[in-house]
Amino acid sequence: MSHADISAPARPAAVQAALAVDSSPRPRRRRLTLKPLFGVVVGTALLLATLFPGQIAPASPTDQQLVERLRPAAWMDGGTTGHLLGTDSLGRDVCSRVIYGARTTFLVALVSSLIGGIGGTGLGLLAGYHGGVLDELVRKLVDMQLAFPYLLLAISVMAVAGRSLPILVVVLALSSWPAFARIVRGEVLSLRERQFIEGARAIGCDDRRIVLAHVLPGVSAALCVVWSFDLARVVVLESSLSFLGLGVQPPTPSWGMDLSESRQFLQIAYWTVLFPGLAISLVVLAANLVGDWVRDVLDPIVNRNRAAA
Amino acid sequence: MAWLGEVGRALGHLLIVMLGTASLVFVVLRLTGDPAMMVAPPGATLDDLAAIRRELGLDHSIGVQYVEFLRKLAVGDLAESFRYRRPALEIVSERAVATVQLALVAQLLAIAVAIPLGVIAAIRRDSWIDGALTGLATLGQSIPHFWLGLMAIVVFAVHLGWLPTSGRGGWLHLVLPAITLSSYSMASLTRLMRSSVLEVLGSDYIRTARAKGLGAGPVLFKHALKNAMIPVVTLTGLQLGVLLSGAVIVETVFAWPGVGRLIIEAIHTRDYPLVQAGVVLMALLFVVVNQGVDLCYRWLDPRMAGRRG
Repeated sequence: MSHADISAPARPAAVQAALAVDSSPRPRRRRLTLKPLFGVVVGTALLLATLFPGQIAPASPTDQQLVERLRPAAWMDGGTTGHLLGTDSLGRDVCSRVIYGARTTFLVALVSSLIGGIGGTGLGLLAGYHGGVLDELVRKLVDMQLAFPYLLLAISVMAVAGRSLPILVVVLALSSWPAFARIVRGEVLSLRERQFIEGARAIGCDDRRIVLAHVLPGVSAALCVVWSFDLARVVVLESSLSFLGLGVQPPTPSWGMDLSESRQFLQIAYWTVLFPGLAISLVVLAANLVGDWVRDVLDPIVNRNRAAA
Repeated sequence: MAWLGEVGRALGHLLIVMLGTASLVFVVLRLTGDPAMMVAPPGATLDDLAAIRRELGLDHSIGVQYVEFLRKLAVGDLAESFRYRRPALEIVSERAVATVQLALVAQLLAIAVAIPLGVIAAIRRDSWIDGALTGLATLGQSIPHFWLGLMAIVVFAVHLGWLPTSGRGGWLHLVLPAITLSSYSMASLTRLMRSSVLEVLGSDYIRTARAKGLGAGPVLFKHALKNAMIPVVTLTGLQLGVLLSGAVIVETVFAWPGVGRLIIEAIHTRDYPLVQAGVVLMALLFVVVNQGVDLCYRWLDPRMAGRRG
């Protein structure tokens, strides 16, 4: 990005100043421990709901009890303890649907982001290490895709190619790779000229070994940061598509789809929209906070501007 | 004369991106399905289908269709909408005003709120105000547009009754959609403004200004802000994609009659020419504004002249 380019020569001054500022005692520790704690709590809840939804959820997510439809949450007028977070328009238990929806969101986001991440990292390594035409091509592609309203493309593809889970994963993975490729490429460019790489080459390592055994470990810290932000982004994209009716299809429970189905009852039964959305927001917030935290810990000064964008 | 070259190059880039987008849209929309089947009335005979194909130009090879599509695109003729039986570009253009209005107001709102908040957070660094603003910004980046919009409807339209729930009319109709759409940009801009001001305040020329006895006010407003704005201008341009993607969602939530909602409706009725025209127009809007921001940026920061961003 352009502003990262121009800030590079000015870095020594910024670093000095920031060091001067940071040498005074400041109460920073407390905030640094809250962020990962939040992430761990939400992550554990997500993992438990993904692995054992049947043990946690009070009811089946697809069980329709039309007599009980649109019942408010337990603490509101007309609510029952049988349905802790109320029921939706088909009489399904909202709490159970939120718990079962976690699996869809978690697995889809994880798999897509891993595929996109591996692809993007590979391209970033190749582009940064070899340079030349490939580097130019990857940079152009990344710039174009990062700036373009990707949701529009995703909508067109999902609408035409069919609304199936594999296609959704491919569409999400295709949205992930540029962020990885850009950051990895930048890191590789600075690593490439270091002496230990030169040393590895001098003792006769081939390119593959240098890239995998010497360059890749050097970029792993940056990868952690990109990956947590990317998970947050993929969760939002998936639920946005599901909300538009172009993502996960029924009967698979999904938070985005629940929101879209319950939208028409918004005025009379807001809890059907409140809780699935709350779940999405908490997961995204947790991933963002963990990303923030990892970035602060790994590289307190240099990366701040780059990733804030 | 140098700027003429810049403008020329920007126009060339614009043409290439437009061609790429149009081709992509064409390929995606023709991947599956036979558009003739979609417009044909129930019980249509094979002869009827053949007639419809001839009328829509679908009886030619895909290559011929593509060339024909590009030729018509060049003169602004994007076929007729299957559903409305009117030129697709005409329908889309009518809706474009609403989208541009929404996006523009949202972006201005984001800038107007984010810049002062970012400055306040930076000059009160590590105080409770900084903590609250940074936390709020992280929250703003994490809550998806569609849920924020739905919750805003519940609180401000349904329960408090202050604002209309949906549709387009007076300025009151614009309040909720614009705030919802601006949330993400506002949050990102606040964070970037904060880190940008912090970086500039730590630089040598600010120390010099302080050393010669300038007060905090003149240092901030006369010296620091101008340079701190540079990354913010860049991000404003880069966020356009996010803004347009968000517009699709926000328009759907608030029944705002813009291009985004039109595209979603057209997808559900399989009205390919309308989807095509909508996506192409959004892309055009995006590329034109993006190039405009790019030119502005070069003018703001002379160091960037002659460098590719």
